[in-house]
Amino acid sequence: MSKYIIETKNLTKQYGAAKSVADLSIHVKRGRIYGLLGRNGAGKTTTMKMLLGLTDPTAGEIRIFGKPLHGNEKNLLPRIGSLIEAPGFYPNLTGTENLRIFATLRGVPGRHAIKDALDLVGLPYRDKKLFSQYSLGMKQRLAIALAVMHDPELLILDEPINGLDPIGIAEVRAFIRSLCEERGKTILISSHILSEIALLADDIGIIDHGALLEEESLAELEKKSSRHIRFTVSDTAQAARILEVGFNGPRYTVQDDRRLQIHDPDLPVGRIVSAFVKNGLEVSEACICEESLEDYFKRVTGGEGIA
Amino acid sequence: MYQEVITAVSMLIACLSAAASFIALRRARKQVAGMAEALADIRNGNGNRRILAGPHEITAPLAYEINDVVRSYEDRLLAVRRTEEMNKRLMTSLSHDVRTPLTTLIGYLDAAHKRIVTEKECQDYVETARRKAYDLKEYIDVLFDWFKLNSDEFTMQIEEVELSEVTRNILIDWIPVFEEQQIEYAASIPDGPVRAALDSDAYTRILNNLIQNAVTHSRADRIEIAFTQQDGDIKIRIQDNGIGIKEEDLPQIFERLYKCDKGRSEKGSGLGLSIVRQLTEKMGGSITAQSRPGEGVAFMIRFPCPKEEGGKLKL
Repeated sequence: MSKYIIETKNLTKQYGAAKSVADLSIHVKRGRIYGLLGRNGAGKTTTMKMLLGLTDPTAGEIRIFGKPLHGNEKNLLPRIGSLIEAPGFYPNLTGTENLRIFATLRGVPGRHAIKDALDLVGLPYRDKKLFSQYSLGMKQRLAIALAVMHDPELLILDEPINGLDPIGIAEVRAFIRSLCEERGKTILISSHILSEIALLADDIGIIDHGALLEEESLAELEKKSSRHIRFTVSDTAQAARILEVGFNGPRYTVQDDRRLQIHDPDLPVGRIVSAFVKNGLEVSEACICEESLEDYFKRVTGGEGIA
Repeated sequence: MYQEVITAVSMLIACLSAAASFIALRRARKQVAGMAEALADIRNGNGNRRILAGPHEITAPLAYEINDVVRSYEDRLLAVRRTEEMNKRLMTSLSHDVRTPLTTLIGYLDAAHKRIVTEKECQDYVETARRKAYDLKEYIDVLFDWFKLNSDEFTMQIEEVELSEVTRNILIDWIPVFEEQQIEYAASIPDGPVRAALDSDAYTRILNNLIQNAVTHSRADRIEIAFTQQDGDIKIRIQDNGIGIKEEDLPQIFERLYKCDKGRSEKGSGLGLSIVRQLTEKMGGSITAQSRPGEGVAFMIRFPCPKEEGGKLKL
């Protein structure tokens, strides 16, 4: 089994002279939630459309489930569930009837697939309400039900929380998490909202003007953006003692024999270093790290930030 | 003439049905080939693969059955993997939690040993190191309890106990601590006997852990303990007026290793509440927490009253 469920190499989409997606190489790992973060028009939807074979790439390669997408569409695409723009539901049929049509066309994994999918998104099974009478939120829910009805291994969801109210957003978030954690699904979602991605994703790809600026796990990003002072010294035991005795015992963790972190970046680093040196310690590194996730995104997107 | 028509029609029907069955056979063969391909993928470890079939196709019942089997195995596998992942995280976190106090302790002892400080400081250091060693021991005791609780060798001794008396005795031991830390306290416990079928050691641990939690982490200056018996339930409510717990943290506080935001003090193993919940549930009870930041936390424990049989409690 390949490690990556989705892997693209130098994926490019050009409309006329403008490159909508440029040299994009993303890596979506099995069983994880990958968040594609970027502002409107950054190239998220175009990327997803290429992954689903809805539009052909100008250049570059896409591998899904370890196989090239090109030429294997018929085998690979049924294993993906997707939510991209609005699916074509019949307005004069009910939600259940609409799903039944797709079930016959595409096939389902079980006898109760339609009911299960509707239960998952909290819509009633065999309800009389026609699709045309649905609210925006209900339409979005039905679209998600369609995306998961065939129990796909991979879900590609473009801005899945659009049109949902705050309770709906929390529900969909919990639902996406449980699909990943309890069912081992791989999920690629896009969003322009940083906090949303930070709450949901395990790995994050930041995309701006069609190019991938950063690809990193959330844990790693959070580590990068946590507020702390990092020291590398010759003896962490003495360093810990000096901190406790001379600096009121700030919160700190000892990483190993040489590295130590203080979780309070407001302490006077200069005074700490000189106290260490006075006590005969060698200080080979002292570094203040205090960038919030938000600042970090601002920096990688070139100061514009992500609203 | 009549006969010729019949012959022609029957030949036509024969041809049509032959063609139809040929098409059906081809379709079924294609589906079987697809199923074989999917099964090979599943054999290679991809338990998320499903075989899709339209509800009215011939292969549908078979495909659905296979999917069911694969999914039930996959669910079990996932549960195992998740536990493994949790244990790995637990181990990493534990080694950090032990390393930091241990390193600091060594720092004090080294300094005292090398005489790089004055005689007075030296004495202080030994005292600090001693205190830290005890803290560490306490932490390791908790850890040991937790591991024991999560292994098979843990057993409870459920007996008939007089719970209001036990509760009173637990609280009496806490009074000096409350007074030392200038925490006001109020307890309401019924005068009459309340009989329950519990493990009294485990019950004592639950209450001690919750009170300890309030004393160390909540920064409260008032703790209320209310013990009531109603509707066939015994309820114990422990309420503090401290800094409280954020709403988004509440669902996770009983998870192992969950420590709330850094404001609630770094000290502690992150295992206390997890132990409390496990003990409570092993005795058939339940525990919930309510809180609003700035208004303190209330922990509610509920145990069902045991049924009586011939003057004796049914254990």
